[in-house]
Amino acid sequence: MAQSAPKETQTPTGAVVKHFPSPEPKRQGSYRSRKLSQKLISYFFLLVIASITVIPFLWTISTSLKSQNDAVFSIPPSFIPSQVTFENYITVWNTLPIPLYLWNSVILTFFGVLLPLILCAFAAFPLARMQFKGRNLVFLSIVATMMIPNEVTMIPVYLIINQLGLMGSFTGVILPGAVTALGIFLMRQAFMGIPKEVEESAVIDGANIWQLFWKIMFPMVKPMLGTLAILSFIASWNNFLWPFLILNDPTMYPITLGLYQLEGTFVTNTRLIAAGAMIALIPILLVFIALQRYFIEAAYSSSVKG
Amino acid sequence: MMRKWRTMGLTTMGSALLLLAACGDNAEDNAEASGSNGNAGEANEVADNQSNGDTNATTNASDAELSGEIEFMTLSLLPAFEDYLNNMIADFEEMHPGVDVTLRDVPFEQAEQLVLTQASSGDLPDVMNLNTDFVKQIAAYGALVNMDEAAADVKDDFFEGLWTTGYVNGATYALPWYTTTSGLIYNPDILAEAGFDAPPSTYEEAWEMSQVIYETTGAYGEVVDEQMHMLLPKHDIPTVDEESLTATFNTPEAVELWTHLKEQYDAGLFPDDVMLGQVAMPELYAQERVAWWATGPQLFRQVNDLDPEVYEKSLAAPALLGPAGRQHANPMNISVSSSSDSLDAAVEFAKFVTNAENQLEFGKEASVLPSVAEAAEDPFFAEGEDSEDAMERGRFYAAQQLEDAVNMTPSVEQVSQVNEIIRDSFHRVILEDMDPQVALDQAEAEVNALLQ
Repeated sequence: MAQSAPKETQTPTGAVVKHFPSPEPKRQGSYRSRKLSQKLISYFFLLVIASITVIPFLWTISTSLKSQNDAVFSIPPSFIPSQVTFENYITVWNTLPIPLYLWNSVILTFFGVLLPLILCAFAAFPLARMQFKGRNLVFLSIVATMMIPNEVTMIPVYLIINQLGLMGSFTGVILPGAVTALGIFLMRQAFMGIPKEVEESAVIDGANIWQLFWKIMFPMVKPMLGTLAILSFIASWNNFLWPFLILNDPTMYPITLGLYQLEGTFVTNTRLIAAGAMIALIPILLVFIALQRYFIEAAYSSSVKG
Repeated sequence: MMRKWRTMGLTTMGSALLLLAACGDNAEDNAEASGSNGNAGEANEVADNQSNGDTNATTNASDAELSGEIEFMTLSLLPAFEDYLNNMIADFEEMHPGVDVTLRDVPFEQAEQLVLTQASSGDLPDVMNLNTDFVKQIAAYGALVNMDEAAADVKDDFFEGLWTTGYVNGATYALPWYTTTSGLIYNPDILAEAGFDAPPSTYEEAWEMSQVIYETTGAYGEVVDEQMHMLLPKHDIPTVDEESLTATFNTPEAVELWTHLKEQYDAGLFPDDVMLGQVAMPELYAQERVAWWATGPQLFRQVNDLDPEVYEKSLAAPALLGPAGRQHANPMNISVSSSSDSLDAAVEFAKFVTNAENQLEFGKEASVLPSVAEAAEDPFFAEGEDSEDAMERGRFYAAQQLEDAVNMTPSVEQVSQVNEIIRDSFHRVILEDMDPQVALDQAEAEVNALLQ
């Protein structure tokens, strides 16, 4: 009302413009078209980005289905094989013990996800909720280690694992990643976000510290646990260099390492590598499809809390 | 390196003490390793003498007495050569029933990281397949057995120009294994379109033809690849003086070479993405964007994998020769860890892997060339002169050049860094228009500072 009044006085022709319902649809129309063109532009860019991300993937699929007679790096790239063949998949399956590699990956990833969840929460809880001397110093020194790149600590950690006699064992692969500074940091933030009153009422109801942790606090940080689980999953599944340094028995290789054997010194069969990459991708896709909802939830929760 | 780890250790706050402890151990390990390394040959002799005395055997000291477990590390040879390697190991174990050899194959790209990590903890495999740069780096830790002493009895079997491949700090730390010299695979269609009926045989010819090919067909001819640091020795410009540890490449000839290459680049005759390693030569060749590719014939078949049609029409020729008139041969090497628990067995196994019989067989399997003269004389390598297959024919030419081939890698432990300095300075000339003389002056100063 306050807006419409001055507008009427400002119009020199006066009578035609009565009140704001008439300019309003006009404004809405221009707003709509502006919105539409904005949408078109953003969709255009999204399409460009999507095709940039998808093309290599499509190329890999098409290469994996090409027979030995099709060129791999032709110009322009050909996406449709002249003759679709599953020969490459069969060869990869027959040359390498793929199910064994996948199983090894599953074991390593299972512990690589489970241990950080529990241990980081254990470490983070007192740092977030308990009062003790030097708490901040402890937290700061944990966070400070995030500044050191992995490459620097690799050799000392290798020496420690060697001295512990854990070379060539899954334990040696899992142990260094069982607690991460990032995990402790994330979990501490999550615990700090829980209202003090929840904790106090649980104590009044007679919960001891162990019950307080498992029954009250731990379930309340589920979204952050989800985030951490996904981060750990990706890190464990894709881990290459560390298992490579620790494991020396090819029957213990995870899939990332196993597939590397397709690369030869003299001749590398690009089609086999493409087929191997697709085989390794399938489990990740299944996990993603199954947990899609949690992936997005995890992204939300981390964005709010972070 | 040791010093570097120590300072890095100091930067970690909480675990600094732990790290220092670890590095301290490490330094001791290495000191021990280098100590025993110096004596490796003697120790070996003593052991041999003992076994002589014990058995009262006549000459073959190392036979039945050998025992122990040996880990044998190869670079990217599985699963392609699994049967060959397993058969060889089985033969050796049959000859020496007390020895148990386990094979571990590692991907080439990750081998450096693995071997350096293992070397730092005194945990190297007993017998290793290493490339030349690794040998020189790891030998500098004192972690490898001196082969001039340990394998003195077989030294004369190898080509002289190849034996020195593992030479660094006054001794040879590796037995040369399979090797390659270059051959040339070329696309006769592109040459014909440009009006040529034969590929070039010298660098000079190559660049002249490149210009015509580029102007008529748009394809490249001669291309400078990632290994461009090898252009200096191929043009008879030695890189480093091993005795005085100084750079020797800052000469008028080098200035002339780089000025010349810069002119070729400015005329569009070679692409920078191959030089920078962003595009691999086999891909470029398979796309018919380059008229020839100079490389080891064993790699020719990669073209067949990428585009069978292009491979089908390709032909092979002898490799280009520079003013030095000699081919560069870069063998793979077999080294023995000086901290091995079964040193005698490991040295014996290394000799076994590189002997004429096994090298000949591997040469047949993998289309590579042997580093021992006896194997190279086999009729197998004389075949292929009239072969239709580019690789077989390339192998023939490469084998012909083996006698005159020499390993041109600089014999200093910092070989990788030296090569990188040369490459960087070349890139500055090509991509940043730096004056060749200025670039070479800088590179010389950097190399001298590195080697001092």
